[in-house]
Amino acid sequence: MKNLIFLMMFLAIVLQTNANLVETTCKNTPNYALCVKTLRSDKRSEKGDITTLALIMVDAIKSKANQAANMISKLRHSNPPAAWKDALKDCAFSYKVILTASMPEAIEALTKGDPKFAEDGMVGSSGDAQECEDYFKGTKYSPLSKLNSAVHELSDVGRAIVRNLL
Amino acid sequence: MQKNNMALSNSEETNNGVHYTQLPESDNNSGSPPTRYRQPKRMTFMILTGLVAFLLFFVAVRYGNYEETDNVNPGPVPPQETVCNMLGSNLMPLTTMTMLARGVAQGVSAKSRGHFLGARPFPWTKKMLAWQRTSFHFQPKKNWMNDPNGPLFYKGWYHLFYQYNPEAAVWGNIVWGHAVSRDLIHWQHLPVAMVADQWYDINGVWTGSATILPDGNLVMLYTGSTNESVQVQNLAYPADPSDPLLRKWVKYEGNPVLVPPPGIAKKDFRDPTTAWTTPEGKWRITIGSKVNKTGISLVYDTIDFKNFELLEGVLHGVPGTGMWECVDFYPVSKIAENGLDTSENGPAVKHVLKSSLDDDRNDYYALGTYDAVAGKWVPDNPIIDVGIGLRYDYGNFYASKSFYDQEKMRRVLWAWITESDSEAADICKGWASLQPIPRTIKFDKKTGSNIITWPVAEVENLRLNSKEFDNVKVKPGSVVPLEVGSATQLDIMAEFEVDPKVLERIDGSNATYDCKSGGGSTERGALGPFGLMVLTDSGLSEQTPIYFYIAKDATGNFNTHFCNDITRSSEATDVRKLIYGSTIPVLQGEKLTLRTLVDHSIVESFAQGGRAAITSRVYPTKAIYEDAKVYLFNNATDISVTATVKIWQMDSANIQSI
Repeated sequence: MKNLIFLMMFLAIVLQTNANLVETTCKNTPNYALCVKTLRSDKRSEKGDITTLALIMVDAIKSKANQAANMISKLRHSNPPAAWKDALKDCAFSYKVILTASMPEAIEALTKGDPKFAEDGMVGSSGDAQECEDYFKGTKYSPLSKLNSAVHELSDVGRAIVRNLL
Repeated sequence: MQKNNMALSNSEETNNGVHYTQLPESDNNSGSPPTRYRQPKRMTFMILTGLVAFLLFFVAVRYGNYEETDNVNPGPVPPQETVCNMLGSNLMPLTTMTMLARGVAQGVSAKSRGHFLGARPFPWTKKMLAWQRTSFHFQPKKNWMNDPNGPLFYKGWYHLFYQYNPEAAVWGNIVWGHAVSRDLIHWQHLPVAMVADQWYDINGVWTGSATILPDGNLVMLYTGSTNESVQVQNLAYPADPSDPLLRKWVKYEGNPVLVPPPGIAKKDFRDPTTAWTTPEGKWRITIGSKVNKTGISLVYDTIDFKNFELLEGVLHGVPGTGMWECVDFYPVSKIAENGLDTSENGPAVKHVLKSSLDDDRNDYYALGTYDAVAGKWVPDNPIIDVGIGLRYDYGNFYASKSFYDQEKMRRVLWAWITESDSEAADICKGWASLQPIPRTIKFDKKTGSNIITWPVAEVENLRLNSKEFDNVKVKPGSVVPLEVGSATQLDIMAEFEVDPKVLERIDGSNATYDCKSGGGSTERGALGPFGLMVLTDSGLSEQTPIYFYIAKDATGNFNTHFCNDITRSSEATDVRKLIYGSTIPVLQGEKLTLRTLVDHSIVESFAQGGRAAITSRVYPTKAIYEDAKVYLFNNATDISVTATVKIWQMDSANIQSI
C-alpha cells in the first residue's frame, strides 16, 4: 500500500510537471483556453513532449475537419439552397486538401523530425478553413461557421506549438 | 499513409443516403477524467475505471466518425475537371453575387462574419494556374521539391539531386530526385537516385553533399532519419562509376557513419557538407546543429568517409540564431576571377561560412578567415556574422548549396525556391517549388565585404531577339511602357542614371527607410523609388516592381536600397505579398544597374552586378500570357531618371525525361 501511495505521488508529480508544459506551451499560442482544453482532453498530454502536444493538436484538427467534410457532403446531397451550391463544392476541396495533404504532411514532419513542414501544414489548414468560410460571403449565412472557426483556431494554435520545435 | 485518405476522398463525393448520427459540434472530446487530482485513498481503482471509461468514450468519439465514412460505397470516380474545385467555372457570375450581397445585408450575422478577413477567396482558373509553371527553370514534371542535394560535375555531366515527394505537391515521402545536364540549363530527368529503404534512412533520405576525390571517384554523405527518427549521417557512392549518368547508388553497409554526438539532440544533426582537405592530409566536413538557441557548426575529420573523429569545439557558432541547416563552407579568391576547389587555402583566399536558419527560412553568409590547424573560422566583421548579417538573396531563397565546377573552374550555387501561394493551389496545379537559375559566386573585389552572385553565363544561350531602349528619360511620377511583345520569359538588363547635381542639392532627412516597411513602390520619396515593373497588365492593376530607393541622411550620406514589391503583384488574396530587399553598397562613379530574369511565376533580380539579389514568386491573375507587360517607372518626387534598358525574349529550356 505504501508503494502504491508513493507511486501515485510520483505519478501526480509527473502529471503536475507536464501540466506545466501544457500551460507554458499554450501561453505562446493565440488561444490559451482552446489550447489547454484541447491538449488536456487527450491523455497523451500528461506525459508527452512538445512534439506529442503538436500531434494532439493535429488530431483535433483532423477530427473537426472530418466533421466539416461530412457535413459538407451531407448538405450537398440533401438539396442545398442554390446560393450554397458553389460554396459547398469549393469547401469540399478545401477540406480535402486539409485531410489528404496538410494534416498528413504535419504528421509526417512531426514524427520524422523536420517540424518546419508541420508549420506549413498548419498554415495550410488555417487558410483553407478560412477560405471555406469566405466562400459563403454574399450568402445569408454559413452553415459551417462553427466548424470552420474551430479548424482555423486549432490550426493557428497548432502552428504556434510547432514553432517551439524550430 | 495516403491510402486511408483516398477512401475518404471518394466517400465525400458520393455519401449518398447513408444515415449516421450528426455529431454535436461542440468539442466534447474533453472527456478529461475528473479523477486525476483526487485523494490517494481509492485512487488506483477510480483512476483505472476513469481511464477505461475515458478511453472508451474517446475511441467512440474519434474513431466512430472514421468508420462511417470508410463504409460508404466508393461510387464513380469524379471527372478530372472537378478534382480541383478552385476552377473559375464553378463560381457564381459576378452580378448574382452583388445582388445577393445587397439583399442579404440585414440577414448576415455580424458574429459569424466578424473574425474572418478578406473578400471571397480568389477563384483560380486552370488557365491562370497553368501559366505559373516556368519555362527555363529547373523543376520536376510534377509534385513537391525542396533542398538541392549533392550537386556536382562528373564525366561531362552536371548532376542535380533534390528532395522530392513522388506522391504529392506537399512535403513528404522524401526521396532523392535526379537530373543531368550538359550546361546547367537544359536538363533531363532521370529515375529517382535514392529512396528511404534502410533502417537508418527509413524516415527520410535527406540533404547531403558530394565530395570528388583526387582520383576522380566520388562519395556522397547524406542525412538519414532512422526508424526512431534520429538524424544520422550516411555514406553512399555510385554503383557504377563508369556510368556518367550516375543512375544507381549504393549505400555503405556500415551505415550510419555518424550519429549525434553527446550534447547534441538527435533531431538537430543534419546536412553534411562537401569535404575539404586538412593540412594533415585528412578530409574534413562540417555539420550544422544548435545548443539551446545558439546555432553551431560541428567539425569532423576522416580518412575514409567511414570513420570520423569529432574535433573539439565548433567551426563557429552565433548565439540566438537557432538551428543551422544546410551549412556550406568554401573558399573564394580575393584576386582571381575563377572559383576555387573546396580544399583551396592560402593568403589570397577568404572563406565563406553560410547557414540556412530554420527559424526564419533565410540563408545567411559571412566572409571570414579559416584556421585550418584549429578547425575554426572567424568572421571579418562580427556585427554581420552568420545569421545576423548578409544574405545570398533578400527574397525567397533557402537551403542553398554550392559546388565547385572543376570543368569551368567556378563555384555554382543552387537553392530551394518555395511557393508563396496556398497549399491548396499547389495541390490544384500539381506541383510546388523551383530551383533558381544556378549562380556563380565570386568575391566582390570592389567592396571587399561581400560576395557577388550572377546567373551562369549559359542562361544567355536562351536569349532570342532583343530590344534596346536608350536613354529614356523618366520624369517624377511617370510610367513608361517598354514594348517587347511577349513579356513572361525575359532577360532584362537596365542602367539608371540620376543627375548628380540634383543629388547634391536635395536636402537629407533623418527619416529611416527600409524595403520591408518603406511602403512599397507607391510610397514616394525625394530620390525614389524608381525602376522596372514586370508582369504588369496595361491597366496597372497588377504590378511587380523592382526598384531602387536612394535615401539621403541629414549629414549628406547616401544609402541605396534595392527592393522588390510583391504587395500589388496579384489580385488573389491567398498568396503571400511582402516587400523584399536590402541596402546595397554603391561605389563612387557607379551607375545603378539591375538585371531581372522573368520566367512566369519566378522573378530573379540582381543589382550592381550581383552585389545583392532578390528572388520572388509571383502569381498574377490578369498580368499573364499576352497581358503581361514591362514598364519603367519613377515615383520619386524630386528627380528624373535616365534609363537604358536591353530586353531579350527567353527561349524555353525543354526539360526532358530520358
